[in-house]
Amino acid sequence: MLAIRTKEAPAVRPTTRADGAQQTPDREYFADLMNAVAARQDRDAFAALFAYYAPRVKAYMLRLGAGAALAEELAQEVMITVWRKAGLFDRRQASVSTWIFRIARNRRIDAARRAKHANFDEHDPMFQPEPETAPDEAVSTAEREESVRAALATLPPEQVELLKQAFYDGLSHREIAEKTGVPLGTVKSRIRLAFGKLRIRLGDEDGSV
Amino acid sequence: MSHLARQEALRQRLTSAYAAAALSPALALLVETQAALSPETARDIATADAIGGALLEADAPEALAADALERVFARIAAQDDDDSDRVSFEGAHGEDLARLPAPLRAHAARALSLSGWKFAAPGIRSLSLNVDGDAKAEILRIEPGASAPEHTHDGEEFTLVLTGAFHDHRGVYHVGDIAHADASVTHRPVGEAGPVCYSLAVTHAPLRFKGALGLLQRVFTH
Repeated sequence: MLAIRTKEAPAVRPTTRADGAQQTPDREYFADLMNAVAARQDRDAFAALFAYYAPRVKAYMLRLGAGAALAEELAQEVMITVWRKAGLFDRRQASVSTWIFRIARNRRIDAARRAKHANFDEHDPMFQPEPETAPDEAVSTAEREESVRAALATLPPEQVELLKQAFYDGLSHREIAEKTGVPLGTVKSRIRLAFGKLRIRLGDEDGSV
Repeated sequence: MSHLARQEALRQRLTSAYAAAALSPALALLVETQAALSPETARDIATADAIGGALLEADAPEALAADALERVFARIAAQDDDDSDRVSFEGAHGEDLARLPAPLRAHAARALSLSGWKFAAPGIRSLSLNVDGDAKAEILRIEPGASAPEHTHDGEEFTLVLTGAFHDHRGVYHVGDIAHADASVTHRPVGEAGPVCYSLAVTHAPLRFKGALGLLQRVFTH
């Protein structure tokens, strides 16, 4: 576990307990830390963000197939971007976790230069079209964030695992099928079903698949 | 499948691959640019990113090197006067490029100052972007009525309309639409009447042109 070596800073709270377990992140607190980095280049606030996120970004990079050295390098680069772009973080738009995930994903795309179609299933519409919604009825970005988390918490574990494999581990549907022994067509329909459930919980009338 | 259904299936296919970090940098740029033009794509990416953010919190941390934070601070200090984000649009059609969706602007400005526009066909010019070692990404400028030589494709070609519109035998492509073509497609894109059509074309293999004009183009551009 990474030790935080910073000067005493009353604004920064420990996010790691003495036994090494991570506490559930306080989203407002992390957003405050981001604002402190943006407003006054607060190194202690950044160190607290680093302690929580850098090891997770490294874990994500390892999942996406980076070797240990590259994962370490990419995690550091992502955190440098977090520092440099802190002014662009907007707590009304996304949580810090979502914002950093986006930076990490895009950094991985730039670094990977993977085979063009390695993870690219032919003619596979995973996302269902959304019905037209009037602007004032549309779910705000922040509400979507909360709804996705609430929905993830109530989905059956096997559906969460499928979404994780497709959206987080970066596996193609074919790779998921090979890994789990479930037929490809079933994998596709189950992912559509799980994503569709998130849509239903986001308030769409037509969550059909 | 209808023209519209094909459009939607392609949009979803690209968006889901983008969310999974499975696209080449050039195609990722195309999806990011489309998200600036299509609320549906922006919403799908936001939803997928929220899933990713929640899973990032839940992931088991992997310890970094003991001095990782110090090294990051040192690298930040070394980069502090970096102003690579600043761009200028000196050159032909620079004003048009400055109005393109945000994800493309810096790429377009850099390409304009480095390589500039190339002749592609009468009324059609291309601006090669330096995005990806493997795939080719270029901005195409098609004047109303201008027609590309009929051609087929060795690999896959994705063309996202940024302004105006163009058509081929399959239908009309408007702002935010993506035309997809591969070896099974021989087509002749034509600029629609109205504003000049700018598009972002990502190609994963050299185009194979048919006919005499195609041959001339190969000679001129190689």
